[in-house]
Formats: sequence, structure tokens, C-alpha cells
Amino acid sequence: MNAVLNAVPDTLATPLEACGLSHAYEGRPVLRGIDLRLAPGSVLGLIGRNGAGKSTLIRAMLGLFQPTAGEAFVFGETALKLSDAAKERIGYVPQQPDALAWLTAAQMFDYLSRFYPRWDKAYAQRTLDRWQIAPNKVMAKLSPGERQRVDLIRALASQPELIVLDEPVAALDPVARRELLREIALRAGEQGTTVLFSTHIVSDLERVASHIAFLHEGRLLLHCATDDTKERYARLWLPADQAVHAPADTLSRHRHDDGSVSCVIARDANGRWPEAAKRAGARMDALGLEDLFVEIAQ
Amino acid sequence: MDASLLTIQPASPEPIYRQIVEQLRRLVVGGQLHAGELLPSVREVAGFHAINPMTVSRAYSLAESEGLLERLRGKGMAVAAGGLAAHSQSQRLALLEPQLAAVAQHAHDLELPADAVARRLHKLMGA
Amino acid sequence: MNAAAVMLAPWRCVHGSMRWIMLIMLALCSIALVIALVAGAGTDAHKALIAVSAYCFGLFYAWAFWMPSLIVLASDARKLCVPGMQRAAGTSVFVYAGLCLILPTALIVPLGAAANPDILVVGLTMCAGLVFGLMPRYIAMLIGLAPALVLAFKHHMGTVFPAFDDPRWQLAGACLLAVLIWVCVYRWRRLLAVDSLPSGWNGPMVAQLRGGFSSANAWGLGGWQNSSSLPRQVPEWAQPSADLHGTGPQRPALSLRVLLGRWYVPQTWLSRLRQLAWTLIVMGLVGVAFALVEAGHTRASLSDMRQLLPFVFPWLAMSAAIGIVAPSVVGVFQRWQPKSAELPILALLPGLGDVAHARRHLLRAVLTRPLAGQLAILLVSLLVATIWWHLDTSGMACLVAVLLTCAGFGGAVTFMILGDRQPSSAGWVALLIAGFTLTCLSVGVLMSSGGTRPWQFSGVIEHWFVAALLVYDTILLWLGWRGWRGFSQRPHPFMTNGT
Repeated sequence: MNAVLNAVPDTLATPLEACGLSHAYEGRPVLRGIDLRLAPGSVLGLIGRNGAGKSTLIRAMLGLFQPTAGEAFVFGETALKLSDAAKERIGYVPQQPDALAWLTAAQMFDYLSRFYPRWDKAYAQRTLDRWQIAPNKVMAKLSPGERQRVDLIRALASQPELIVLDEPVAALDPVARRELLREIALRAGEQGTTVLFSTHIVSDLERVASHIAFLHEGRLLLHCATDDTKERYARLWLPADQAVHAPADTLSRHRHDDGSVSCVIARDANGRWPEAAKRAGARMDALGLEDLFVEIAQ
Repeated sequence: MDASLLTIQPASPEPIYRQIVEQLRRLVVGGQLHAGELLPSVREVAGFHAINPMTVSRAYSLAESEGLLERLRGKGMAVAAGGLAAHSQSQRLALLEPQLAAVAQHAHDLELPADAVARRLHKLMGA
Repeated sequence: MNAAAVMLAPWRCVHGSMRWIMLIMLALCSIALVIALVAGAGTDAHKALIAVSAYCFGLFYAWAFWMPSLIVLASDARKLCVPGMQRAAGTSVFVYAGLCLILPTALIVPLGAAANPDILVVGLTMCAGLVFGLMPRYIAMLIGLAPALVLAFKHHMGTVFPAFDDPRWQLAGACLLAVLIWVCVYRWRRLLAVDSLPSGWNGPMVAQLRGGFSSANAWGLGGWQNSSSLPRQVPEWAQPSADLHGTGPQRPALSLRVLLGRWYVPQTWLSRLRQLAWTLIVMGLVGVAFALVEAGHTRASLSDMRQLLPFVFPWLAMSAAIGIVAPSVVGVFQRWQPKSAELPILALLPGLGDVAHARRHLLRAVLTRPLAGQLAILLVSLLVATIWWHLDTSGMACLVAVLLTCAGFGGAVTFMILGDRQPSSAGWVALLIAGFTLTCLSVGVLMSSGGTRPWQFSGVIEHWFVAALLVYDTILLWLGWRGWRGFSQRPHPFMTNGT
């Protein structure tokens, strides 16, 4: 019953790693010194506001363009010069799913199956049937939702060890979204697949992600386990007369109109809340992930 | 037991694994789960609720370490023998602790006297 | 519905870039009208005819491409449930028709009754333009052939339609005008009765001009910057269908072609035949037009190939050359755009070997077919030129130089795109315009030097022309070399440009 014993990846190299990635586009910095590391078998949810640089970070980590500074590694190899063996183990779904519009879905799967040795044809066929997508219709004539699903099947059917999804659920209805999350969760838990997906729908992350990373204006504000975000962080509200005692290092701090202060505090290494939490009139609320995100991102 | 017996609220401030453990505890103490009853596999629960199997696995391990569940070889997780009887009144009262604390806090905010609240509670419990 | 809305409707219904071009054109033609009438020589009727012709040139343009955009405005207004704007659009057609008639009427009527037919001509031009803009696109194509038809059957047409000098012309012209007006009104009503303007072959020409000249949709190029939907100017049955036989890691160049685009994708034989049929249809129409014009001029029978060859052959060769260079270059451009989704697949596709191998395979996939095609055209042209046409050496040099330039253009632009060493927009425009001009000129030069009536100055022109081509080729070589350097320096060949 313990899922991890089923399939242990044959390499212990970090599936995905970024070291000091920075990138500027037209003079504007998009990524500022990002250090990120995924553990094998983990599911990392990358959240950020629109334009925070999620897609750019993902593309830089896969070596799809050359960043201004920093390096990225996939399975221990430099992302810009991946070997065939590494490429076989990656599945990537970009944000725009309009690849190969001149082929049919069946043709695209047939073509890619020749390149990926572990391609699961039965799974691809089954999923196409279940989602009722016409396999012999030229993809230019499919709707955007169907094309995104085809792209998802394409990435999943190659049985990759690292799945990278860029806003995968944008065009999916709730049922398909739930199915996708289920698929991701089971693969991560049972086959040890590492998953990185970016989204701005927070409720999906709470279900499936084992780790969360907040990207805000090109900086990584938070990177921790999902359960930690609920257990380690809380919102502290101090009335106006106690505001001066607010702790010094907080993840965010807001001053309200009446002088009171609310800030996001963290437990220290011993699991204790800062002193300010015990002040008279102080109130502490547990934070859901969405609230935490909104607080930090402001 | 069926995986649908558990309800998962991802948006709640309580981590999912803790929600599962609490619900299992409530089910055992409340008598819906009998001693020796087999629990659904990690995969079933994870698949039903679309959550990470590691979370379910963590919940089961935590419940096992608290003596709520036990692992049967070849069959999976089952409710620990001697379930209900082993829970003394004080342990069951401890389950109610969060709700009682919340009621106490609200009563304090509304500046209600303790005995008025206690009398109302008495009536509601039908004793 | 107020007067301001009616007057402003045409201004609002087109994109900014188009407005100014139309206005300038119209202004120039009005000026030409005035000048011809005031300062022109000859009889009043003659002057009026020339003036009106100049005016009608601009008028047709404006009424074919500007005024029909009012239907787009009306259709949008109907969808948004703003009936005032819809009525305003319809009314402004009539108002502006009246306005456009005012200037010529005011200037021509004083000249006497002999000039009245010219006003009718103005009216007919406006209606013809409107019909051109509103009717489905295939009719517009046929209307494009009408002048050629008219020229060819000039001597036959006298029996059907009175000639211009005939007094019955006014009556016939007025009837034609009435018919055209009825067609326009009917089509306007029909277009507004459906939910949205039909696009593609059945839609009005102007439905594709929504974005103006600079937008991706202008002039039927149909979103050429990305190819995620079917290109609109080719009908569905002529779209390529892929043939994946033999693709795989063991044949990397062939496999890469699948990912490069519609022009590159390996196709089934049936699909190739269909595309060939489509190309022949398109070329055939234009060829028919040419042949008709030529037949009208010389009254020769159409089977006299030798007469026609000098006019048809250079045009054929250039069209073929452009027809190979343009889609291949556009395909590469589309693939290497930032938003392209095929590049990540290419970058992460296993089985292509290390970077050096991948580069080689890519170059083979991208360049072999276009270059082979250009070579074939060159050989065939040389053959035709020697055997049938007996072109002299300078003419041959011209032909070879132009075809080599076409091939070189394709190669240089490919390297510029692959190496991310593209010139600025101004540079692109200059390059394209220069290339296009040289190609068009080449047709003229070759046409004038070949055949039974070579132009006496053709030898001199040819020398200058070859010199100009050499200059252009040098620039292309330099740009291509820069692109090649950039390409070799990239960490892997499948990176997006522009980030």
C-alpha cells in the first residue's frame, strides 16, 4: 500500500534544478536570481500572478532559451545541452497548445511514438476515446479545449519521469480538470514521477501539490511543502496600540487605516510562534493557501 | 469502508492529512468503523479525491502511530482491534476540545456568562 | 441617428492605416480630375472622358475597399444591438455616393450634354466597386478577370452592349446601373440577415480587412504569422495531408520536415496532386487573362504558342521561383516565432543526436527541398530558353542571375531566421521591396528581350539589371553569412527568437 515502493527511479539525480536564473527582456527584469530544486517524486505547484514570470521560468529551466544569467539542470545535465536519454524522460506541455496543426491527433501520436521508446499507445487511444476527441480530424479544426487535451495526452503518453505543465487546466472543464489532477497525483505517488505545474488556480494545488513555490515579480518568495503553508504560517492581527510590537521579519505586513497591523508570521525552528502573538488583543488566524498567496503577493 | 466516507476540504486551513486522521478518528469513535474493518487502499482514496497518494500515506502512518489503525500483512490497513472500548471518556472528550474552545471564545466575545451557556448546552444535549 | 454618425461612419469603420491611404488616393484623383478639366486640351467630351477616367481610378479603389467596410460596421452594430449605428452605416453609403457625384457633376454639367455619360460612368464605377467589395470572394476573382475579357471580346461586344460613343449607351448604362444597385442592396440585406459575416470564400472581400494593412489579416494573408489554423486563401480540399511513412529517428531530416510546417511536411501522392491542381487552377486563371488580352490585341488565334511564349514564360519561371521561396521562408519564420509550439517539441525531441548532428539534420530538412526546386526551375528555364526561345547570352545571364538570386534570397533569409540575426523592420521592408522589384523587373526585361520583337535597348538594360542583381546578391551573401555565424553559436538550434 505504500506507494513509493512500486517504482524507484534509476537515478538519484535531481530531476530539475535552477541556479541563479536571471533574465531580462527589453530592459525589464523578468526573473531575478531564482534558485529552485525539485525532489524526485514531488509535485511542485508554481503560483504567481499573471506576468510574474512563471512561463519564462519554466522555459528557462528546460533550456528552451538562453537566460541572461544563471544555469538550469535537468537530471543533472545542463538544460541547454540535453542528451537524448534525458529528453526521453521529459514531458512538457506549453501554454499555447497549438502544435502541429496540420496533422491529425492520431498522426501526431503515431509520429511521436517513434521517438519516445516508452510511448503507451493504449493509454493514448483510451484517453482520446474517453474525452471523445476525433482522432482523424486535422487538429487545426479542433476546438482550443480539445487541442489542450490532445497536448496533455501527448505529454503523458510518453511515460516521462518529469512532467512540466504550463497552465494545464486553463481550457479544461471541471470534470476534465479533476481527471488531470487525479492522473498527476497517481503518477507522482505510484511511479515516482516528478511534476512541475504552474497555475493561478490555487484550489488545484491544495489537492495535489506536495510543494508550493510562489513567484512574485520575478522573485521566489516562498518555497515549502504544502502542509507547511498551513501549519507554519498564520496571519497575526495586532490592534493599533500594539502595532509597534509587530515582529521584525514577516513575509508581509499591512498597515490598516485605523493603525492596526496584520502580518504573516511563521513558526520558528522550535515550532513556537513569535512573542507578539501573545500580546493582549492580538488575534491569530490560520491561512488557507489562497489567502496566503493574496497576502504575500500584495 | 468506502473512500467516499471521507470528505476532503482542500481550501480549509487544516492540512489534508490531518483532516483524514481526524475524520478516521471520528468514524472509529463514533462507531461507524468497527475493529478489524479494512480501510480502502491509498490508491483508492487518492484516486477518488484526486489528492496526492503521499498525503494519504502520511495520514495512514500517523493514524497507525497513534494506535488508531494497524497494518495487516498482505491485506492493507485495518482499524486497530479494541477500538471503541479503549477510548475512555476523557479521550473522547478530547475530540470535542476544538469545538468547546470555539464556543468558549465566542461566548467570551459576546460577554455571555458561563452558566447561561452551560444551561443551553445541557438542554441541547437532551439530558 | 444623427448627421454626425452618418458622416463619420466610413471614417470609423476602417483601421487607421487604411484611412489615410484611401484619403490620399481619393484626393489625388480629385485633383487629377480638376486639372484635366481645367488645363486639358482637346474637345470638351474628350477632356471630360480623361478627367473622369482619372477620377474613377481612385473612386473604384475607394469604393471597392473602403465603403464596403461599412457592411462590417453594420454587421457588428447588429450583433451589438445598436440599430442607430446600423442605419447610419446604410445611410452613409447613399450620402457619400451623392457626395462623390457632386464634384464631377459640378464640373462636367457646364460643359454641355455631350459630357453627361461621364457622370453615368462615375456612378457605374462606384457601384462596381461596391459589388466587388460585397460579393463573395470567388466572384471578386472573376470580376478581376473582367477587364481582360472585355479587351478580348471588344469587337464582339458591340452587338451586345452599345459602344461608348453610341447614344444608346446612356440607356444601357442606366439599366446596368439599376441592376448593380439592386444587387448591392440585395447583398447588403442578405449579409445583415445572417448572424455573422461569412468568412472564407463566401464572405465579402472586406471581411478580411478588419485589421488594416499592418495587421496579420490584411489582404487575405490570413494570419500568416502563425499557422495554427487553416490558411484561408487555399480551399480545404487543397490542404496538405501528411504522410508519416518512414519518419522516425532513423531518418531525422524527413522527420524534422513533419515538424516544420505545411509546405515542408511529407505528403501523400494524392495530396500532392490536389495541391498541383489548385496551383494550376490559380495560374490557369491568370494565364487565361493574359492570353485573352493578347488575343484581343493581335486578333491571333490562341493556339499560336510562339507568339505567346515570350510573355508567358518569364512570368511562369518567376512565379514558380517565388512560389518555392515564399512558403518555405514563411514556414521557417512561423516555426521560430516566440509563440510557436513546435519549437519546444523540437527542442525536447529525443533521437536527434547531439547538437552538431541536430544542426546538420535541421539544415538538410530546411534547405534541401527549396534548393532542389530552384535548381529544377533553373534547368528547365535554361532548356526552354535555348531550345524554344533562342535567348541571347545577355538574356540568359539575366535569367540565370535572377533565378540564382531567388534561391539565394531563400537561403539567406533562412539563415537569418535560424541564427536570430534578423534586420530591423525597416531593413526587412527594404530587402523585400528590393527583391520583389528586381524580380518583377526581370519579367519585364526578359519579356522585352525575347520573342520576335526584341526591344532595341534590351541589351543595355540587361547589363544594368545584372549589375543591380549582383549588388543585391552581395548584400544577401553578407546577411546570410551573419546568420550562419549566429546559427553556429547558438547552444542548440531550436531556440525561439526574440527572447
